[in-house]
Amino acid sequence: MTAAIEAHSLAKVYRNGRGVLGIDLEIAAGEIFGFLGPNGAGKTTTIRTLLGLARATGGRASIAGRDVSQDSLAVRRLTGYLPGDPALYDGMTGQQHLDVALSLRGIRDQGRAHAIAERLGVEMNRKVRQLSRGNRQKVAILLALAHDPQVLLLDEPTSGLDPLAQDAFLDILREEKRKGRTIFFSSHVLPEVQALSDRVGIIRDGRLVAVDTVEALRRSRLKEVRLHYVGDAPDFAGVAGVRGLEVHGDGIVFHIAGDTAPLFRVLAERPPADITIAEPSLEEVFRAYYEGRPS
Amino acid sequence: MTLYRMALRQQLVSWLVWTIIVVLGIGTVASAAPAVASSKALVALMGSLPPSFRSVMGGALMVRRPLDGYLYIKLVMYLPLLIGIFTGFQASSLLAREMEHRRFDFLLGLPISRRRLLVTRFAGLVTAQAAMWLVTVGALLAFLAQEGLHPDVAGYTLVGYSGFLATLATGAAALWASAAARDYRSAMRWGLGIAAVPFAYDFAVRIATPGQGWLYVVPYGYYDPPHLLLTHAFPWLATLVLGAASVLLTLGAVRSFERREV
Repeated sequence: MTAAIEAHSLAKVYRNGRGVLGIDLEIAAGEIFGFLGPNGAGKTTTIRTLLGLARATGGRASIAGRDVSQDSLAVRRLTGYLPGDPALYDGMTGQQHLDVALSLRGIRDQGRAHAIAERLGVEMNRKVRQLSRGNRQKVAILLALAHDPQVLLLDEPTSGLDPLAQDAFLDILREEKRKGRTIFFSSHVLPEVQALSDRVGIIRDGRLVAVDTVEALRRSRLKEVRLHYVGDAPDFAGVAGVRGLEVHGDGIVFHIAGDTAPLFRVLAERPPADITIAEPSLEEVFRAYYEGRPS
Repeated sequence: MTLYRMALRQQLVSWLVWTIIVVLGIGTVASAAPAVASSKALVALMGSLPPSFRSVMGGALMVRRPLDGYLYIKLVMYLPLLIGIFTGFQASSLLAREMEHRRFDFLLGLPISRRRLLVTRFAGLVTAQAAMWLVTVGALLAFLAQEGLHPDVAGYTLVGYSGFLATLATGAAALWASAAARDYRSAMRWGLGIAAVPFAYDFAVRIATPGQGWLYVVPYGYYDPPHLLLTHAFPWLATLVLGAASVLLTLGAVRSFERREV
């Protein structure tokens, strides 16, 4: 069976030396693939190269079996694309954008598009210049989804969306997945990727450093713990799973991965005056993910 | 048609502003023209000018074969240059500004080729340009008629057509600059530079080789307005030279646009 998205040694290097190198990917039809990485890691470049908007300087890629550089029009016919920073036309309304997009795809029926617009709360009849960042994002999402594409390439799709619109959007993506659509989306928000994706690719400095299931990522269960003690604090250095321990006066900061039961036993014996447990940054996830793994 | 309508819509505001400027310019000159509204007055005026200045004004031929109406000297001859600035400005922003603002991500995410996108957008500009010429020539004729003169409709239409060809070539050259330029500012510089070249050329030709009408084909698309107005000769040379130049320059722009990153 042909993979919905395939890339072999795909490279796009700009004159300034930045870009992406050696991207190898195989994403099955009906899969949601989260593309995770910090800002500037190469997520947008990868997506633009997959769509043929940026010309690959090496390797090759295909979408639904069609080469993205040789058969770019067919690829774009099958694909819905959401740019990272959607630059729409200020003087046009959402409806006018939709009319252009569907007309150029030869689609007359706008029923699906209007249903999505209603779910997302898109303001269709206001000019783009009058819309907030979040509402522009909704218009751009609608344009990516309106023609019922086989493959969705979404660059930071939830950026700028309010929580309600985010929920509605994630629901729509789950429905698309159930219909067998393939979704490739980039994000730098870990929980969002974990909640939605079947598999996750991690990109760093233009290189795809890992591709794994969400389960594998979840197994690391990394958390950042901040404790404040009045008086003597217990020694956390020996607690299983604790790493990166730092003590600043009364404050203690560390990360814990895997099973948290040993930590809670220590905390039960000597409760702290204050405690904060937070999601780690991406960098911390990367570090936790690679510690203990063969290179 | 969708892309073409979109391209036209994007030209509308600039088109309106520039058309108003041109029509106001014609009106302003027209209001100052009655003093030389007759052939005799024109001959007298031209005769009183120093020869070199007369050449710059394009008056040599007029003195020999005066026309009923003076406005063309100040306006008709310079309209292609004025509308050329509009075209150079608009054409240079046609691609470069969109690329700089990453607006093409929306259009090029759709199944349309770059060639089609460029040609359609340029067609929108060319339509705006043609409409500007129609309004301009119409306004010129109306102002002349209001002055009690008998404007030569066919002659001025030919002048307008030739001027349109000249600005078409200017636009195609600026479009190529827009497709190849590093960024929007650079494209703007090129576009305005291309539009300014005919000004310099015109001035140099008038001083260096007065009366050599064929030299004006490049900036204007015609030998000289009096030639067209008096003979009604269809400007075949301008049609061939400037038409071919426009096609070649547009193809060059397509080639550059297809090769570059957006």
